[in-house]
Amino acid sequence: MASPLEQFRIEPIVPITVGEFDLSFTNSSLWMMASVAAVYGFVMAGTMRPAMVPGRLQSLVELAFEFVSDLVRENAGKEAMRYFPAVFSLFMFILAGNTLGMVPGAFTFTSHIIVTFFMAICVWLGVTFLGFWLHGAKFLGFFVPHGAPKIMLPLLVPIEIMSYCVRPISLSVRLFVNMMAGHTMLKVFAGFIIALGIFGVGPLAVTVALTGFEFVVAFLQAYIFTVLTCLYLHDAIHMH
Amino acid sequence: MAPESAGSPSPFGEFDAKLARARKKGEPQQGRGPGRSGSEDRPLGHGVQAGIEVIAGVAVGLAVGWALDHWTGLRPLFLIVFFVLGAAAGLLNAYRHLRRVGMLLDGETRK
Repeated sequence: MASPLEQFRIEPIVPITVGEFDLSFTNSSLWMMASVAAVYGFVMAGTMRPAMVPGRLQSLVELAFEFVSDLVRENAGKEAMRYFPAVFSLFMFILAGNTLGMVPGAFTFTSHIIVTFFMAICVWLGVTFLGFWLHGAKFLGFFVPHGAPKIMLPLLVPIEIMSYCVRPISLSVRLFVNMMAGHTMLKVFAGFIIALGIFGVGPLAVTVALTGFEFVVAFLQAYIFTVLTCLYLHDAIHMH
Repeated sequence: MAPESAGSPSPFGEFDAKLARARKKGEPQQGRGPGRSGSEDRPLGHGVQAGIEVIAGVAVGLAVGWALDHWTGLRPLFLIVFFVLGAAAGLLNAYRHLRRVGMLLDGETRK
């Protein structure tokens, strides 16, 4: 039986080395490009011939658009709509990555912490930069809790700063852990089907249920990543 | 497009008023409601998430402390300080997460 972790192995497809860096085009890169292409194709195909009464594809695109725009408005406020394109791209990219990873034999790039961490650190750096850009040095006031006694501040401010710095870690770990755990579990149960012979019906049923569950997780994790991005945007814009 | 600066009533006056009304109606209250995040996902996920927050806090604290020790040679001063800070930050994040999704049961913090 193949190891359940084998599905996460990075395989170079086109080996490229620049200086000391390994910049190979890997299966991870391939599926990232596939996600971008899927999102681009989906949105373009849905909006190619806009109709007053939308067809199926147009409805789906509008649904996705409105879903994310509602998220941004509800969680980050109306001013944050300026950053809607970034949030929408992020959501669609993660969603496409998660769901394409459900195709048998596909590589789920969101199950690698370096990928999710890169996205999280981009969000975090962008939001921090935005906070300082909008509020200047006053953004540092974000780290001073409201209504705390002055004598406690030397203790509370470092804790707040730490709590802020932990954000990209927890944001990335959540997405990566969910995707990796789900896919590993799926593979483990699938491996039992043949091994148990006639009793393999049990794990087969579990695998079917888990597959459905994984689709929910794929959507949910993209959603949670987006909601948290919106909440961080909210903090940067409104500072409380 | 619309001559807003001019005193004359714009040809879109009625439309603008209607638009303003529609916008007002559809405008959600500002600020971070728990939105829909609380209702549609599972309590277990939130528990796991709170755990991730605590572990991430401690891990980041340890990493920063270790790095500063390594850099300044004051082992183990920063490791201890940042372990405590990181643990506190992790707990704070876990608490905030649970409060945000409305899983804390005391009435004051609920929503």
